[in-house]
Amino acid sequence: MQTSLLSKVTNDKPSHMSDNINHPQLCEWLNAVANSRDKKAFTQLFKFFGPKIHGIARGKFPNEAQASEVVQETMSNVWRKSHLFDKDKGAATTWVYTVMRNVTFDMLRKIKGNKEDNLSDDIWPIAESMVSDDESFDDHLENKQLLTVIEKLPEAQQEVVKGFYFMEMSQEQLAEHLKLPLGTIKSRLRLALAKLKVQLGEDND
Amino acid sequence: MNNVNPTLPIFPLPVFLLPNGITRLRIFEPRYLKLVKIASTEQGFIILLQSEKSEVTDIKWGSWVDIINFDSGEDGVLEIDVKCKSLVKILSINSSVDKLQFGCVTEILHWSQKTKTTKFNALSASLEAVFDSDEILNALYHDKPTDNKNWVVARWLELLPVNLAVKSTFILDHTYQDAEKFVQSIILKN
Repeated sequence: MQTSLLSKVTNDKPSHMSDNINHPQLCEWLNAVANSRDKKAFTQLFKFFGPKIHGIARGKFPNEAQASEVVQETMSNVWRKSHLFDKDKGAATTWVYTVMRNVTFDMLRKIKGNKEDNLSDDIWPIAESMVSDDESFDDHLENKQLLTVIEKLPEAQQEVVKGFYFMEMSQEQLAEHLKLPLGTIKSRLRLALAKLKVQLGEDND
Repeated sequence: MNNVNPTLPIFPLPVFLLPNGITRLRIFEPRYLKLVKIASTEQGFIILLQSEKSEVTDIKWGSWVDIINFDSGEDGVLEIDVKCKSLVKILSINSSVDKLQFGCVTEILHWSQKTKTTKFNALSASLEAVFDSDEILNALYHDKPTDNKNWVVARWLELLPVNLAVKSTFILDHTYQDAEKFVQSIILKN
Protein backbone atom coordinates (compact mmCIF):
# COMPACT_ATOMS: atom_id res chain seq x y z
CA MET A 1 0.00 0.00 0.00
CA GLN A 2 2.84 2.32 0.89
CA THR A 3 4.68 1.36 -2.23
CA SER A 4 1.72 1.99 -4.45
CA LEU A 5 1.22 5.40 -2.91
CA LEU A 6 4.81 6.34 -3.50
CA SER A 7 5.15 4.82 -6.92
CA LYS A 8 2.05 6.67 -7.97
CA VAL A 9 3.92 9.84 -7.26
CA THR A 10 6.69 8.94 -9.65
CA ASN A 11 4.38 7.68 -12.35
CA ASP A 12 2.18 10.75 -12.33
CA LYS A 13 4.95 13.10 -13.26
CA PRO A 14 7.05 13.27 -16.38
CA SER A 15 10.55 12.11 -15.62
CA HIS A 16 12.26 14.29 -18.21
CA MET A 17 13.45 17.25 -16.26
CA SER A 18 14.13 19.37 -19.27
CA ASP A 19 10.48 19.38 -20.31
CA ASN A 20 8.35 22.44 -19.68
CA ILE A 21 10.16 23.86 -16.72
CA ASN A 22 8.86 27.26 -15.79
CA HIS A 23 12.07 28.68 -14.34
CA PRO A 24 10.78 32.14 -13.43
CA GLN A 25 7.90 30.49 -11.57
CA LEU A 26 10.28 28.28 -9.57
CA CYS A 27 12.36 31.35 -8.65
CA GLU A 28 9.22 33.16 -7.57
CA TRP A 29 8.19 30.27 -5.28
CA LEU A 30 11.66 30.05 -3.74
CA ASN A 31 11.63 33.77 -3.07
CA ALA A 32 8.15 33.57 -1.55
CA VAL A 33 9.40 30.87 0.83
CA ALA A 34 12.53 32.89 1.65
CA ASN A 35 10.77 36.20 2.20
CA SER A 36 7.43 35.31 3.72
CA ARG A 37 7.65 31.61 4.65
CA ASP A 38 4.90 31.10 2.08
CA LYS A 39 3.42 27.63 2.68
CA LYS A 40 1.52 27.55 -0.60
CA ALA A 41 4.66 28.33 -2.57
CA PHE A 42 6.47 25.63 -0.64
CA THR A 43 3.71 23.15 -1.47
CA GLN A 44 4.16 24.00 -5.14
CA LEU A 45 7.92 23.47 -4.87
CA PHE A 46 7.27 20.18 -3.12
CA LYS A 47 4.90 19.09 -5.88
CA PHE A 48 7.42 19.96 -8.54
CA PHE A 49 10.62 18.63 -6.98
CA GLY A 50 9.37 15.86 -4.67
CA PRO A 51 8.68 13.20 -7.33
CA LYS A 52 11.81 14.11 -9.27
CA ILE A 53 14.08 13.88 -6.24
CA HIS A 54 12.40 10.65 -5.24
CA GLY A 55 13.02 9.20 -8.70
CA ILE A 56 16.71 10.05 -8.64
CA ALA A 57 17.20 8.94 -5.03
CA ARG A 58 15.49 5.62 -5.70
CA GLY A 59 18.27 4.87 -8.16
CA LYS A 60 20.96 5.55 -5.58
CA PHE A 61 19.55 3.84 -2.49
CA PRO A 62 18.45 0.26 -2.07
CA ASN A 63 15.17 0.97 -0.34
CA GLU A 64 12.10 3.13 -0.39
CA ALA A 65 12.60 4.55 3.11
CA GLN A 66 15.98 6.00 2.23
CA ALA A 67 14.66 7.55 -0.99
CA SER A 68 11.86 9.15 1.05
CA GLU A 69 14.41 10.42 3.53
CA VAL A 70 16.33 12.12 0.72
CA VAL A 71 13.11 13.85 -0.39
CA GLN A 72 12.34 14.88 3.17
CA GLU A 73 15.82 16.15 4.00
CA THR A 74 16.22 17.96 0.70
CA MET A 75 12.88 19.74 0.92
CA SER A 76 13.56 20.55 4.58
CA ASN A 77 16.80 22.21 3.57
CA VAL A 78 15.06 24.05 0.75
CA TRP A 79 12.64 25.46 3.33
CA ARG A 80 15.40 26.43 5.73
CA LYS A 81 17.88 27.77 3.23
CA SER A 82 15.68 29.32 0.55
CA HIS A 83 17.11 32.74 1.44
CA LEU A 84 20.50 31.52 0.18
CA PHE A 85 19.17 31.00 -3.33
CA ASP A 86 20.37 33.65 -5.74
CA LYS A 87 18.77 33.56 -9.17
CA ASP A 88 21.65 35.49 -10.70
CA LYS A 89 24.02 32.65 -9.87
CA GLY A 90 22.06 29.83 -11.49
CA ALA A 91 18.72 28.18 -12.09
CA ALA A 92 16.41 27.17 -9.25
CA THR A 93 16.63 23.56 -10.42
CA THR A 94 20.45 23.65 -10.20
CA TRP A 95 20.27 25.01 -6.67
CA VAL A 96 17.74 22.44 -5.45
CA TYR A 97 19.65 19.57 -7.03
CA THR A 98 22.84 20.83 -5.35
CA VAL A 99 21.00 20.73 -2.03
CA MET A 100 19.88 17.21 -2.89
CA ARG A 101 23.41 16.17 -3.85
CA ASN A 102 24.68 17.25 -0.43
CA VAL A 103 21.89 15.42 1.37
CA THR A 104 22.67 12.28 -0.65
CA PHE A 105 26.39 12.47 0.13
CA ASP A 106 25.67 12.93 3.82
CA MET A 107 23.38 9.94 3.85
CA LEU A 108 25.83 7.74 1.98
CA ARG A 109 28.55 8.81 4.41
CA LYS A 110 26.26 8.00 7.33
CA ILE A 111 25.43 4.56 5.94
CA LYS A 112 29.11 3.84 5.34
CA GLY A 113 29.97 4.98 8.86
CA ASN A 114 27.27 2.77 10.30
CA LYS A 115 28.57 -0.27 8.50
CA GLU A 116 32.12 0.29 9.69
CA ASP A 117 31.04 0.72 13.28
CA ASN A 118 28.66 -2.19 12.92
CA LEU A 119 25.91 -0.24 14.61
CA SER A 120 22.65 -1.96 15.27
CA ASP A 121 19.29 -0.44 14.48
CA ASP A 122 18.68 0.26 18.14
CA ILE A 123 21.22 3.02 18.35
CA TRP A 124 20.27 4.56 15.01
CA PRO A 125 18.87 7.71 16.66
CA ILE A 126 22.19 8.27 18.39
CA ALA A 127 24.11 7.78 15.17
CA GLU A 128 21.73 10.20 13.50
CA SER A 129 22.24 12.92 16.06
CA MET A 130 25.99 12.46 15.89
CA VAL A 131 26.05 13.57 12.28
CA SER A 132 26.33 17.22 13.10
CA ASP A 133 25.56 20.04 10.75
CA ASP A 134 29.14 21.22 10.42
CA GLU A 135 30.04 18.05 8.58
CA SER A 136 27.64 18.89 5.82
CA PHE A 137 28.54 22.55 5.51
CA ASP A 138 31.52 22.01 3.29
CA ASP A 139 30.38 23.10 -0.13
CA HIS A 140 30.04 26.37 -1.98
CA LEU A 141 26.53 27.01 -0.68
CA GLU A 142 27.75 27.40 2.86
CA ASN A 143 30.24 29.57 4.59
CA LYS A 144 30.67 30.86 8.10
CA GLN A 145 28.73 34.02 7.44
CA LEU A 146 25.70 32.12 6.21
CA LEU A 147 25.88 29.76 9.15
CA THR A 148 25.73 32.72 11.48
CA VAL A 149 22.63 33.96 9.69
CA ILE A 150 20.96 30.58 10.10
CA GLU A 151 21.89 30.42 13.75
CA LYS A 152 20.35 33.83 14.32
CA LEU A 153 16.97 32.66 13.08
CA PRO A 154 14.54 31.82 15.86
CA GLU A 155 14.38 28.13 16.65
CA ALA A 156 10.96 27.87 15.06
CA GLN A 157 12.33 28.93 11.72
CA GLN A 158 15.33 26.68 11.90
CA GLU A 159 12.86 23.90 12.38
CA VAL A 160 12.21 21.92 9.36
CA VAL A 161 9.08 21.14 7.44
CA LYS A 162 9.45 17.43 7.97
CA GLY A 163 6.42 16.43 6.06
CA PHE A 164 4.07 18.69 7.96
CA TYR A 165 2.48 22.02 7.37
CA PHE A 166 4.05 24.74 9.34
CA MET A 167 1.20 26.33 11.28
CA GLU A 168 3.30 28.51 13.53
CA MET A 169 3.76 32.09 12.35
CA SER A 170 7.16 33.57 11.60
CA GLN A 171 8.18 36.80 13.34
CA GLU A 172 7.76 38.52 9.97
CA GLN A 173 4.21 37.22 9.57
CA LEU A 174 3.30 38.32 13.09
CA ALA A 175 4.75 41.78 12.43
CA GLU A 176 2.76 42.04 9.23
CA HIS A 177 -0.40 40.82 10.93
CA LEU A 178 -0.14 43.30 13.79
CA LYS A 179 0.99 46.02 11.36
CA LEU A 180 4.10 46.70 13.41
CA PRO A 181 7.77 46.95 12.49
CA LEU A 182 9.75 43.71 12.86
CA GLY A 183 11.97 45.39 15.45
CA THR A 184 8.95 46.11 17.65
CA ILE A 185 7.86 42.46 17.46
CA LYS A 186 11.33 41.28 18.37
CA SER A 187 11.53 43.54 21.39
CA ARG A 188 8.01 42.59 22.48
CA LEU A 189 8.96 38.92 22.31
CA ARG A 190 12.12 39.57 24.32
CA LEU A 191 10.19 41.55 26.90
CA ALA A 192 7.46 38.91 27.15
CA LEU A 193 10.04 36.20 27.75
CA ALA A 194 11.77 38.27 30.43
CA LYS A 195 8.44 38.92 32.17
CA LEU A 196 7.56 35.25 31.97
CA LYS A 197 10.81 34.29 33.68
CA VAL A 198 10.02 36.64 36.54
CA GLN A 199 6.43 35.31 36.81
CA LEU A 200 7.56 31.71 36.85
CA GLY A 201 10.22 32.55 39.41
CA GLU A 202 7.56 34.09 41.67
CA ASP A 203 5.32 31.05 41.26
CA ASN A 204 8.09 28.77 42.41
CA ASP A 205 8.88 30.73 45.57
CA MET B 1 -12.05 4.21 25.88
CA ASN B 2 -12.17 2.00 28.99
CA ASN B 3 -8.45 1.61 28.83
CA VAL B 4 -6.98 3.64 31.69
CA ASN B 5 -3.44 3.73 30.33
CA PRO B 6 -3.69 3.15 26.57
CA THR B 7 -0.64 2.30 24.47
CA LEU B 8 -0.48 4.55 21.40
CA PRO B 9 1.90 5.08 18.49
CA ILE B 10 4.17 8.13 18.77
CA PHE B 11 4.99 10.70 16.08
CA PRO B 12 7.89 12.95 17.18
CA LEU B 13 7.37 16.38 15.61
CA PRO B 14 8.25 19.98 16.39
CA VAL B 15 4.53 20.77 16.61
CA PHE B 16 3.05 22.34 19.74
CA LEU B 17 -0.62 21.40 19.94
CA LEU B 18 -2.98 21.93 22.89
CA PRO B 19 -6.43 20.33 23.40
CA ASN B 20 -8.89 21.39 20.65
CA GLY B 21 -6.00 22.55 18.47
CA ILE B 22 -5.99 21.28 14.88
CA THR B 23 -3.14 20.94 12.43
CA ARG B 24 -2.49 19.35 9.04
CA LEU B 25 0.33 16.84 8.54
CA ARG B 26 1.84 15.47 5.36
CA ILE B 27 2.80 11.84 5.75
CA PHE B 28 5.12 9.99 3.42
CA GLU B 29 7.64 8.08 5.47
CA PRO B 30 6.61 4.41 5.44
CA ARG B 31 6.78 4.02 9.21
CA TYR B 32 4.46 6.98 9.70
CA LEU B 33 2.08 5.75 7.02
CA LYS B 34 1.92 2.66 9.19
CA LEU B 35 1.29 4.84 12.23
CA VAL B 36 -1.64 6.49 10.45
CA LYS B 37 -3.07 3.08 9.59
CA ILE B 38 -2.91 1.98 13.22
CA ALA B 39 -4.18 5.33 14.52
CA SER B 40 -7.17 5.43 12.19
CA THR B 41 -8.44 2.00 13.20
CA GLU B 42 -7.61 2.32 16.88
CA GLN B 43 -7.39 5.25 19.25
CA GLY B 44 -5.41 7.97 17.51
CA PHE B 45 -1.75 8.76 18.16
CA ILE B 46 0.58 10.92 20.22
CA ILE B 47 2.51 13.91 18.90
CA LEU B 48 5.67 14.09 20.93
CA LEU B 49 7.17 17.56 20.87
CA GLN B 50 10.63 17.32 19.43
CA SER B 51 12.93 19.94 18.05
CA GLU B 52 16.22 19.20 16.36
CA LYS B 53 18.09 20.33 19.41
CA SER B 54 16.29 18.56 22.22
CA GLU B 55 16.47 14.86 22.65
CA VAL B 56 13.31 12.88 23.11
CA THR B 57 14.23 11.65 26.57
CA ASP B 58 13.60 14.86 28.50
CA ILE B 59 10.01 15.24 27.34
CA LYS B 60 7.46 13.25 29.27
CA TRP B 61 4.26 14.61 27.79
CA GLY B 62 2.56 14.62 24.42
CA SER B 63 -0.57 15.68 22.53
CA TRP B 64 -3.10 12.88 22.03
CA VAL B 65 -4.72 13.48 18.63
CA ASP B 66 -7.52 12.01 16.55
CA ILE B 67 -7.43 11.99 12.76
CA ILE B 68 -10.45 14.08 11.76
CA ASN B 69 -9.90 14.30 8.02
CA PHE B 70 -7.57 13.01 5.34
CA ASP B 71 -6.87 13.55 1.70
CA SER B 72 -4.33 12.58 -0.89
CA GLY B 73 -2.73 15.79 -2.10
CA GLU B 74 -2.24 16.44 -5.82
CA ASP B 75 1.31 15.18 -5.49
CA GLY B 76 0.06 11.89 -4.03
CA VAL B 77 1.28 12.62 -0.53
CA LEU B 78 -1.16 11.69 2.21
CA GLU B 79 -2.44 14.69 4.15
CA ILE B 80 -4.18 14.22 7.47
CA ASP B 81 -5.87 16.75 9.73
CA VAL B 82 -5.49 15.97 13.40
CA LYS B 83 -7.25 17.41 16.43
CA CYS B 84 -5.81 17.23 19.92
CA LYS B 85 -8.24 15.74 22.43
CA SER B 86 -6.04 15.91 25.50
CA LEU B 87 -2.51 16.14 26.76
CA VAL B 88 -0.96 12.98 28.09
CA LYS B 89 1.83 12.02 30.41
CA ILE B 90 4.06 9.40 28.82
CA LEU B 91 4.72 6.62 31.29
CA SER B 92 6.97 4.47 29.12
CA ILE B 93 8.15 4.17 25.50
CA ASN B 94 8.81 1.01 23.47
CA SER B 95 10.07 0.70 19.91
CA SER B 96 8.84 -1.80 17.37
CA VAL B 97 11.15 -3.38 14.80
CA ASP B 98 10.43 -0.77 12.13
CA LYS B 99 11.50 2.12 14.36
CA LEU B 100 7.95 3.14 15.22
CA GLN B 101 7.62 4.05 18.87
CA PHE B 102 4.71 3.26 21.16
CA GLY B 103 3.98 4.97 24.44
CA CYS B 104 1.94 3.92 27.43
CA VAL B 105 0.15 7.12 28.43
CA THR B 106 -2.23 8.63 30.94
CA GLU B 107 -4.39 11.71 30.33
CA ILE B 108 -3.63 14.98 32.07
CA LEU B 109 -6.02 17.89 32.46
CA HIS B 110 -5.28 21.17 30.78
CA TRP B 111 -6.78 24.65 31.10
CA SER B 112 -7.56 24.79 27.38
CA GLN B 113 -10.27 22.15 27.89
CA LYS B 114 -12.26 24.56 30.06
CA THR B 115 -14.62 27.23 28.81
CA LYS B 116 -14.66 30.82 30.04
CA THR B 117 -17.04 32.83 27.93
CA THR B 118 -16.13 36.42 28.53
CA LYS B 119 -15.61 38.22 25.28
CA PHE B 120 -12.20 39.80 25.42
CA ASN B 121 -12.10 41.84 22.36
CA ALA B 122 -8.55 42.56 21.32
CA LEU B 123 -7.09 39.04 21.47
CA SER B 124 -10.22 37.45 19.98
CA ALA B 125 -10.43 39.98 17.19
CA SER B 126 -6.77 39.64 16.36
CA LEU B 127 -7.08 35.85 16.27
CA GLU B 128 -10.15 36.06 14.05
CA ALA B 129 -8.12 38.21 11.68
CA VAL B 130 -5.41 35.54 11.55
CA PHE B 131 -8.02 32.95 10.57
CA ASP B 132 -9.40 35.27 7.92
CA SER B 133 -5.99 35.76 6.37
CA ASP B 134 -4.88 32.11 6.38
CA GLU B 135 -6.91 29.91 4.08
CA ILE B 136 -5.63 26.56 5.34
CA LEU B 137 -5.98 27.47 8.99
CA ASN B 138 -9.45 28.86 8.42
CA ALA B 139 -10.61 25.69 6.68
CA LEU B 140 -9.23 23.45 9.43
CA TYR B 141 -11.45 24.94 12.14
CA HIS B 142 -15.17 24.57 11.51
CA ASP B 143 -15.93 26.06 14.91
CA LYS B 144 -14.03 29.06 16.11
CA PRO B 145 -15.26 29.81 19.64
CA THR B 146 -13.46 33.14 19.86
CA ASP B 147 -15.68 34.11 22.81
CA ASN B 148 -13.94 31.45 24.92
CA LYS B 149 -10.88 33.02 26.55
CA ASN B 150 -9.13 29.70 27.12
CA TRP B 151 -9.57 28.64 23.50
CA VAL B 152 -8.26 31.97 22.21
CA VAL B 153 -5.16 31.94 24.43
CA ALA B 154 -4.42 28.31 23.50
CA ARG B 155 -4.63 29.00 19.74
CA TRP B 156 -2.42 32.08 20.09
CA LEU B 157 0.19 30.06 21.99
CA GLU B 158 0.28 27.55 19.14
CA LEU B 159 0.71 30.28 16.52
CA LEU B 160 3.23 32.59 18.17
CA PRO B 161 6.85 32.45 16.96
CA VAL B 162 8.22 31.42 20.32
CA ASN B 163 10.71 28.74 21.29
CA LEU B 164 9.02 25.36 21.83
CA ALA B 165 10.61 25.01 25.26
CA VAL B 166 8.96 28.26 26.33
CA LYS B 167 5.58 27.12 25.01
CA SER B 168 5.99 23.91 26.98
CA THR B 169 5.92 25.83 30.26
CA PHE B 170 2.19 26.33 29.69
CA ILE B 171 1.17 22.70 29.63
CA LEU B 172 0.51 22.54 33.36
CA ASP B 173 -3.12 22.97 34.30
CA HIS B 174 -2.54 25.92 36.65
CA THR B 175 -0.62 28.04 34.13
CA TYR B 176 -3.61 29.74 32.46
CA GLN B 177 -3.01 33.16 34.04
CA ASP B 178 0.66 33.11 33.04
CA ALA B 179 -0.26 32.04 29.50
CA GLU B 180 -2.84 34.82 29.16
CA LYS B 181 -0.39 37.45 30.40
CA PHE B 182 2.30 36.12 28.07
CA VAL B 183 0.11 36.21 24.95
CA GLN B 184 -1.28 39.62 25.83
CA SER B 185 2.16 41.11 26.33
CA ILE B 186 3.06 40.13 22.77
CA ILE B 187 -0.19 40.86 20.92
CA LEU B 188 -1.49 43.91 22.76
CA LYS B 189 0.13 47.26 23.20
CA ASN B 190 0.88 47.89 26.85
